[in-house]
Amino acid sequence: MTTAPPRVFRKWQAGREVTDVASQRPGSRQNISRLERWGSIAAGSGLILVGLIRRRWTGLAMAISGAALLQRGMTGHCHAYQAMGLNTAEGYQESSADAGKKGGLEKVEQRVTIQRDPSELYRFWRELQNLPRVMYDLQEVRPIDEKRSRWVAYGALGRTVEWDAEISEERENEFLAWRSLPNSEVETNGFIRFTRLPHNRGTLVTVSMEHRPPLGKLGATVASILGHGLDNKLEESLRRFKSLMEAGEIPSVAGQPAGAGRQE
Amino acid sequence: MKALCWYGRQDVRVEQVPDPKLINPRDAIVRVTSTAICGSDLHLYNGFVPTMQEGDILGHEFMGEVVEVGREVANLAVGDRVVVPFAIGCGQCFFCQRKLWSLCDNSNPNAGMAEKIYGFSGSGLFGYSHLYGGYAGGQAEYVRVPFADVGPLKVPKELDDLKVLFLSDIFPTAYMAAENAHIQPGDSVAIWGCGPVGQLTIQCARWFGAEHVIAIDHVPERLAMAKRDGKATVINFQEVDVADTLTYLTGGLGPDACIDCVGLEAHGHSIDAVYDWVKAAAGLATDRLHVLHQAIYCCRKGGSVSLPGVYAGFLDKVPLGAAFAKALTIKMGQTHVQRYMRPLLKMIEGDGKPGFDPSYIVTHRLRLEEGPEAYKTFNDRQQDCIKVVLTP
Repeated sequence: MTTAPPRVFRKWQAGREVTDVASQRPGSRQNISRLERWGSIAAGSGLILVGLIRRRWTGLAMAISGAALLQRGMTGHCHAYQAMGLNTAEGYQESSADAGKKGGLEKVEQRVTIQRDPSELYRFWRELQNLPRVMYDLQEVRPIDEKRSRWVAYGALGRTVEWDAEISEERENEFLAWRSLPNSEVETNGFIRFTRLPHNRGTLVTVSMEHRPPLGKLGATVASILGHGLDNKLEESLRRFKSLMEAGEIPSVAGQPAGAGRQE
Repeated sequence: MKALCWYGRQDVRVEQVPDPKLINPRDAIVRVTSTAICGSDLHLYNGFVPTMQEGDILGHEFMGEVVEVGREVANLAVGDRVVVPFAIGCGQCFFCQRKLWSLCDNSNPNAGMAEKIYGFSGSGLFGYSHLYGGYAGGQAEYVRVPFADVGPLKVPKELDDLKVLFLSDIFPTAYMAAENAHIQPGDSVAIWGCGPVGQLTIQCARWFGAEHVIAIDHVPERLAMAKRDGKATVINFQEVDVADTLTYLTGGLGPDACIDCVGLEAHGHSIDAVYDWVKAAAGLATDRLHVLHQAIYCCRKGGSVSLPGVYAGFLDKVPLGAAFAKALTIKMGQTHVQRYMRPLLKMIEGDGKPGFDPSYIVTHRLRLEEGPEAYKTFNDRQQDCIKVVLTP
């Protein structure tokens, strides 16, 4: 049963350029050398081993950092290196993309497939005040007019960061792009694209974001080491968006009971 | 309320904890009337599963009465009697829509953690560590059930708890184990492990048409039950060579299907299998995958190996060469409980004829307060213990 309209199919084919896209996608490439990868695998495995033997909270922390190191070794990609603009991989040559990075803009692009109609997803996202329900660190978005809005995010050390942004391009049920207005405290822009997949496989959602970290490169580095770089935040945000759209709620165990005074 | 909480290796306690509350709109609160201890709970008990935290409420096999429903739960009412599947599924994602409920995309709040280890995350599970979502389990007086509009199965009042309780996990697990073994009428089926899942798998294999069922274990009372209730040929692996005996019993062909109802038992669960892998890398390889080895080795050419037993990490020395040379089919995974609950309830009800009653596997009925002793009894296989049911 292949009754997908040709127009949609062409669009999906366009999405299939993924092999080309993937090699250029920000934050996706190997950036550590072979020797370092083996080092990460060995150290990560060791941490997991010691962590598991302890079987306590400290052990858990060790096991999780071990798993992160193991992943770093297995994938050959280091988020902290990426944030610092470092690369030790063999055969690496600085490209124009990295040169752009040196301007201090951090850029990520991710995809998620959601079992809902593009129009439904678009509608949620276009109501910008909905975004704090799913976006990590975002406290509030207040529409100012049809195109402009005020964004409030949680910043470092308990303070908040605010900026004004505008919708720079929109095509109903397909595409939405935004950017911060000139002279904002935060420099940011991004887009989200909704592509209906054939054979009832849902909607392919592509999100791209670029921003200048408030504390510059150092801030991004610290954030990456702590595992809360833009990449991770976007990943968790898209996971929440997907759950909210598909299941109607975001899974949580907050506030459930536990023994001996511990309560989440 | 009272709840059975995990505090560490072989340390579970009955604690007074706050009652659960509704958290999300599709939640329900269930007053637990019966709950069982699963063989996989022993992995937690023995401290093999990482990401457990002190005070975690245990239990993923339970049933009870609905006492409160969230605003999105239209199909359940207060007072309904329900059995709750151990794997939590949203019913809406790519996987749930393909009836792969235990692979649900939207039920594990810690999916990011699981992805780091497995590439992708399975569904959330009740009372089975924070890697699987950290959901409080059902070995308690009350439990919060997420996605209650699609998970719990309403059961008629006239069926006793013991008859329907195992629809929450082990009965569907046994059924899926047999289904994954692609059993054809006339087949001979070898089943490793005669615990509760093994016992029920013997029955399910027959429903698929197995002519000859061979059960393998070393605990005398388990083998006795397999022989008495399952009409199986039994092999005590401490007395005879399993491969040789299976080949003899199947006339030199080998079993058409091999089912491993043991899993990584002695080595537990989850990322601790990384530990195996590290040991192997250091030249200190271990060999506790004995059942998996045997199942692959003994299986006939072109046969199927089904793994309901839990595996979790990076295993070394898996005889993939033998599996390849004999063109085996290997199927595995956590049970998609919701897929099987309704048809299996029909089996229990019998549809006019006498139905199937899985309660014969229960050897111990105790109160929730006796949970700590119950775990010990089950773990040490004392008093001929096969299956424990607790009543809050």
